Amino acid sequence: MISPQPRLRDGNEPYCDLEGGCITCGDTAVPLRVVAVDLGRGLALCADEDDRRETVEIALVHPVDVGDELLVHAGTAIVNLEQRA
Amino acid sequence: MRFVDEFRDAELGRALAAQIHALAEPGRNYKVMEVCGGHTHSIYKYGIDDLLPDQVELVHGPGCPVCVIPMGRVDDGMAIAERPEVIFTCFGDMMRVPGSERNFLEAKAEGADIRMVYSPLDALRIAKSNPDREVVFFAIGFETTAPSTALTLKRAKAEGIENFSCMCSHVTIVPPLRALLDSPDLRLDGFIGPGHVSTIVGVRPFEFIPGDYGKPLVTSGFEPLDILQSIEMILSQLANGRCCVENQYKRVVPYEGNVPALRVMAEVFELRPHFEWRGLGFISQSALKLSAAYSDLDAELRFEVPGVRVADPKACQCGEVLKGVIKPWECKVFGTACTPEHAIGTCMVSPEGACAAYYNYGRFAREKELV
Repeated sequence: MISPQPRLRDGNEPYCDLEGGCITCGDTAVPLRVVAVDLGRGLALCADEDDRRETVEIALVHPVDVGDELLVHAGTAIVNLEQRA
Repeated sequence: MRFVDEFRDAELGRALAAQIHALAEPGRNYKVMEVCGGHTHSIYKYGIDDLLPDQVELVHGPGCPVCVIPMGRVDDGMAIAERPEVIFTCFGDMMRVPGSERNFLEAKAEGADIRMVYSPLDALRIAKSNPDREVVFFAIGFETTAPSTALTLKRAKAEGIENFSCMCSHVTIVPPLRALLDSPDLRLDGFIGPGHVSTIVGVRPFEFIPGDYGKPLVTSGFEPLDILQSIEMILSQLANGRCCVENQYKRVVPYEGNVPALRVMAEVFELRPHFEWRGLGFISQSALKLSAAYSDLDAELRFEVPGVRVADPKACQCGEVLKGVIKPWECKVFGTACTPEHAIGTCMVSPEGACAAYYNYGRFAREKELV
């Protein structure tokens, strides 16, 4: 599975992993589960299956509920998979 | 994981491969282009190529946003990145794309403040926490990525963040496809359509391919079964004399695309009259720039950029690779002078680039071509 974010070298230096590919540069999106929604700021806290968390822009996939699975690319949710089910 | 595990089932994969073998007419050769670099990466990662009959050839298209950035554009970014007041931000793969003198990673080693970000929103956060510096985001990517940049620019404007700007190199998928289809040295039988670009633009923009050029296109997901099923659908269309756009990736891609995303892109961006694509030359209306309403956030207007066109290195055959005219290993410098560690051409830089995908998965040459 491609990492949802750049990996960190020693000293917290981010880098793109050649093996997995940079999901931002490729036309790749990863499914993340919504943990919390901040409607005021238009953001959601999301987690991948290893519970790594990131803040995601949700303006393009309203409405979003806790527990929804979103397809995320470059920090922005582009599809709410619950709405496609 | 839902939508992942069931699309990697080996038994189903073998069954689909058998259907593809049954559909391939003896004596007929099929050339199918996968438009998207993400598909190229999956094809070699999962060895999909090895399951196909010899007469089905996959041709790698121009859909890696890193691979199509010309050298002059990197030099323009470098002119901004080397200014002492600037924090320059870009995606990871972009750091290693060669400019005429150096890449961003080398410039960073020489002291320029260049930082890798995962999303444009990260760049905006850097701007907020460094109010005394100018933060520039070097935006690349197709329609999948452009809405993310557009939303960030909207946010910057709404929050009044004046030390943030964007050097926009977003590109659009349809004009290069049309340019490829008009290219005289290309013969293709069908297309595997880009999956995540289609989540934004929908399926409709690709209907000109069967309509004007008589080639089927199947919008495809990125798992191995997705790609195998898409090839089966293309061959099935060809076998039955049908020619249309089909959507294999219905679980993700809506026919009409993502309307709010298209709306925000229309507000923030406008089409550039021309844009240079590495190896493909200038293509009309194939890239985006910031609209007049957002011109105050345009880094190319805020800072001076040389805007000089730089010719690609003579030894590099990225253009022919991008058009699918040659396979990566047929390039003169593939795997010798040009490797992922020391890339001459951009197709070797990004893992989604056709050359890097071949190199990383050991596809240095194909046995049948060596005989």
